[in-house]
This record gives sequence, structure tokens and C-alpha cells, in this order.
Amino acid sequence: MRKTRLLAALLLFLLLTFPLWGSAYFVGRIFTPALFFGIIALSLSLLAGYGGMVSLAQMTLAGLAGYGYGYLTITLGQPWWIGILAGLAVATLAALVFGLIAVRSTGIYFLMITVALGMVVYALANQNRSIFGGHTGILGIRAPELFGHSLVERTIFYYLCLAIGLTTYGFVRYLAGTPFGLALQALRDDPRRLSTLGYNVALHRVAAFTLSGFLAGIGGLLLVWYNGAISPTTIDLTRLINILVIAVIGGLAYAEGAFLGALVFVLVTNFASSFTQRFNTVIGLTFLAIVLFSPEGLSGIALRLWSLLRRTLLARLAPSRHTGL
Amino acid sequence: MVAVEAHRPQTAAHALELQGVSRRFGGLVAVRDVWLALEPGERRAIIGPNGAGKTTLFNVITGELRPTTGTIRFFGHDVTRLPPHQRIRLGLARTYQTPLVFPRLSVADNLYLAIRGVQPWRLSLRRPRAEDPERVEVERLAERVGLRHALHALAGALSHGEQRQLELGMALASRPKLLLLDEPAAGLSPGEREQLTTLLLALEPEMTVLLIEHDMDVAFQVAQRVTVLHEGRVIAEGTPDEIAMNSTVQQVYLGGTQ
Ligand SMILES: Nc1ncnc2c1ncn2[C@@H]1O[C@H](COP(=O)(O)OP(=O)(O)OP(=O)(O)O)[C@@H](O)[C@H]1O
Ligand SMILES: [Mg+2]
Repeated sequence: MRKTRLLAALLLFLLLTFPLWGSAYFVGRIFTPALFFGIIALSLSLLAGYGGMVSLAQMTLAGLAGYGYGYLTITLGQPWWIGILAGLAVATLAALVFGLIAVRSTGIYFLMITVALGMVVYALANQNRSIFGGHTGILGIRAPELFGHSLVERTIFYYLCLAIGLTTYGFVRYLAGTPFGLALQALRDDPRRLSTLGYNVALHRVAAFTLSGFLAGIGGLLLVWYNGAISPTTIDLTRLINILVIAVIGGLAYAEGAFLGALVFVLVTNFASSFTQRFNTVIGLTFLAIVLFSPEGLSGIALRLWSLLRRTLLARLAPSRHTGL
Repeated sequence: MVAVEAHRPQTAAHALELQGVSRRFGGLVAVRDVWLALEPGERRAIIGPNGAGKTTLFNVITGELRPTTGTIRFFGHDVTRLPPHQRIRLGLARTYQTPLVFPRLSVADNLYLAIRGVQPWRLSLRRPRAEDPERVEVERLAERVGLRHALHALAGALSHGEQRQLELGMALASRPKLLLLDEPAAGLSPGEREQLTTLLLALEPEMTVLLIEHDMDVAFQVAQRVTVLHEGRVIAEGTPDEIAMNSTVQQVYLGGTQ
């Protein structure tokens, strides 16, 4: 327990000081995207890990927040804070609607319905010019500016993503012990039993989905600031699946897994593309290997390695343990 | 011999009243025109051979299954069309024939969920604090069903008997007005059965209890009246003594599917 905390503190220290010693490329192009993709994937960890609902629509929800922000700030020329509120509201409301449609089904059917909803939004975005800007999308989107600095300046944006990433992560972890989170885990294991304890299972599923839409929306805003534009490509089928791939690589059941998976994903897509044209194949193979060899994802592997390491360490240190380490 | 007809409704608030309840599964009629009335505070056992429709009857009472025909009244309210969670909130609780607990949650969390299920703000985003009355109640319940030592164990790691205890704790957590127990003694050791009987006899006298039980010792000790179900039909109803003497019942048990 103490050692785990020590490790977490070390990790936090490294993350906080990263811009001081990490290369600009790693800070700006690897870790920052890993953080906002991680937040979007975290919205899926919440749904799938706690609630057993594997959704493919999380990127769609994130994208809708981006569209909301872009439409308000560019098309309507409103200030950034209205764009943020509108973006989050759109993602949350869309999730509410998606939830109402999807939650009566479970498992693979739930997944199919969410992917269908995602494709409907994709088609709509492609065809509608007045709001979504057709297949060009919305260009020239700018992040908010504070005290003369754009929030997407490399170091600022890294810290912004890190702060929001840590907050959302903490929130999802906290949720596990709340009545909301406990009931969510309970309905994953036995919805019928939960209903005979007085819970409205369908309502709870909708609420969880709505909450996940809000989280995905936060990630979507960061994404659209980073890209400076949004188009249907951002929410096409491949991108939807990418979020699932990220969450599964990291370990669906772990909130940490979302970020770990996102980091691996961004690394692979950045570096595999310089070695081979087929980085989709590399991602696919990684995905398959994880599913086959460690259904718990990288978090599961990391957890096993850590407990192994701790045991060896403890064995080594056993004679001197009373020194108060 | 006690006629079933004698218990037709006198719509004054019975704790539970079934009026002509049937449930079909395709061609099979699992529950057939059942009339049943429980006085508040009454302890009633339902017995009957395997496949008699006892569990199906419970599922219809809780709303997990819709009756094909008939009306269900709970303290005078017609609940026939209410979903399970709303019936539970009215003061109904049940246990299952094979214990249903949440295996990946701790014993304490299982009990806590059961307490919160009948309270407002059951989907609160605030973690319970140690001094919350619900937390205190969790410990009291665990004590009552003999699981004090296992509060922080995962429910899935408990033995069969302990899972039964936990489920009973979960059912009592909502302070129900009507408690439905589906074979609470099944799979228990003789010692555990005795504990169970003691616990059931010590329940608040105003609590109405309907229990399905194969173990006649438990059933006849706890219940004042017994209803016998056979092929979905009520074939007899009376005091434990009357039922033990009843020739139809003897025939069913001796010549039946057993
Ligand atoms: N969901 C269902 N679908 C189809 N048939 C069912 C269903 N549930 C129960 N049955 C059938 O209804 C009949 C009554 O079953 P039920 O489980 O109510 O009996 P029981 O009296 O509880 O028996 P036991 O003592 O074995 O628990 C059985 O023939 C059973 O196969
Ligand atoms: Mg049964």
C-alpha cells in the first residue's frame, strides 16, 4: 500500500516536471494527445469497467462537443466560454438521447446500437453544411486565450491536459465508492438483483451514459483546440473504434488503463508510421495480443509486474525492513 | 380440510392479496388461478413439489414477471402494473433460491446498496462517510445475520451459507413490510438451519413473511399457516397440523415428482 503510494507520487512528480526535461516533441505530440485521448477513453472505462456497457459512440460524443464549440465560436462568433458551455451541453444532451435509445439492450447489441448512432451523426455531419460545415467541417477553431497566452501553447496545453486528466481520473476513481458507482458496478453483475433492491436500472444506465458523455465532451474540447479544426473524419468509424482499442489495450476495467492505452496508442501511431505503412496492422496486432494474452490489458500486466517486483524487493529488503523504509 | 374459497378478498388492507393470478410460459401454465391473502404480520409458508410454480409465484409478486391474468394488491394498492423497483420501494423485499449477491463488491457494499435502494438520492455522487447512519446500519445488519467478521470480504468469496446470510441481511436492510424468502434453508448445514430459524422467529412481529420451504422443520416452526402449491394450483391451505394431516397433500408428496 505504502509502496504503491510511493510509486504514484514518483509518477506524478515525473509528469509534473516532464516539460522541464522531456523533448518538445514528446511533450507536445505524444503526451498531450495521450492525455486528451485518455480522457475520452476514460469515459468508456467508466461505462464499460463499472457499468459493463461497451459503447462505440464515445468519440462521437467528444466530436459533438468539438462541433458545438466550433459552431458557437466560429460560425456564430461567440466568446470561448460560451463555446465551452455549449460544447459540453451538446455532448451531454446527445449522450442522454443516445442513452435513452441504447440502454434497453446490452452486450453486443448495445455496442451495435451505439456504433449505429455514431454513424448517423457522422452522416449528418457530412451532409449538413449550415451547422457542421459538410465534409470540410469547421476550420480555424481557436483555443481560449488567457492573459495573452493561447491555451494551446505547448507547455500550457500540456499542463492543462494533465490537470484535467488527473481531475477526471480522480473523479472516476472517487465514483467507485459512491452510491452511484456502487450501483453501477452492481448492475454490471446482476441488473435484475439491483432492480429488486429498489433501483431503476434503465434510469441508472441512462444517467451513467449521460455522465460519460460529459467526460467525453471535455476530452473533445481539448482535442478540437489541439487540432484547430473539426471535420467528419474526426468521428468516422476508424476513430470510434480507436477509442475502444485504447481502452482495451490499457485494460477496460481500470481508469488508469485509459491513459496507459492512449499513450501506447499515440506512440504506436507516431512511430509505426515511420517504419511501416501499415500501422493499422500494428495496432490491430497489438490489440489482438492484448485480448489473447491479457484480457485485463496493459494495466493487468503492469499490476502483475508490480506485485512481482514488490515481492522480490520485499524479500531483498526483509532483513532491513525495520529501518523504517 | 380448509377450503381455499374461504380466503377470497375482503379488500380491507391485506399485506398481500393475489386475485386469480396465473402465469403461462407458452403452453405451460406455471401458476394457475391463485388466490391468496396475507394478514399484516402473518407468517405463511408455501410448500409444494419441484416445479409446482412457487418461485414463479414470487417472481410475479415482485414484478420480475408479469402475471398472464389476475391482480396483485400490496396493502390495498394495486401493484399489478408496477415495475419491480417501485414495488420494492413500497416495502417489499425478497431473497432468491440460489443466493443472488454482487460477487465483486464487499459484504459491506452489498448491504449498503440494499439500504440505499429504498432511500431517496440512491444515485448520489457523494461517498458515504463513516458517521453516516447508513454505515452504522450496515454494521448492525452484518451483526444481525452473523457476518460481522466478513464485512470487508468480497461477497463472491463467501461460502454458500454465508451468501444466504448476506442475502437475508440485504432483504432486511430495507426494513420491508413484506418479506419473501425463497428456500432460505436450502444448502445450509443443520447448525446454520437452527440459526436461521432463530433469526426468523426473532423478526419484528409486524413484518409479514411469505416463505417457500422444502424443510418442513423450518417451515412449520416459523409459519402459522401453510399453502400447498401443486402444478401451479393451490391445493390446500391451513395450519401446519392441518396440512400435515391432509390426505391430498400426502398423496402429492408421496406419489408426486419427488
Ligand atoms: N422463465 C421461465 N420460462 C419458461 N418456463 C419457466 C420459467 N420459469 C419457470 N418455468 C417453468 O415453470 C414451472 C414452475 O417453475 P418454478 O421455478 O416456479 O417451480 P418451483 O415450485 O419454484 O420449483 P422448485 O422447488 O424446483 O424451485 C417449471 O416447470 C419451470 O420449468
Ligand atoms: Mg423454486
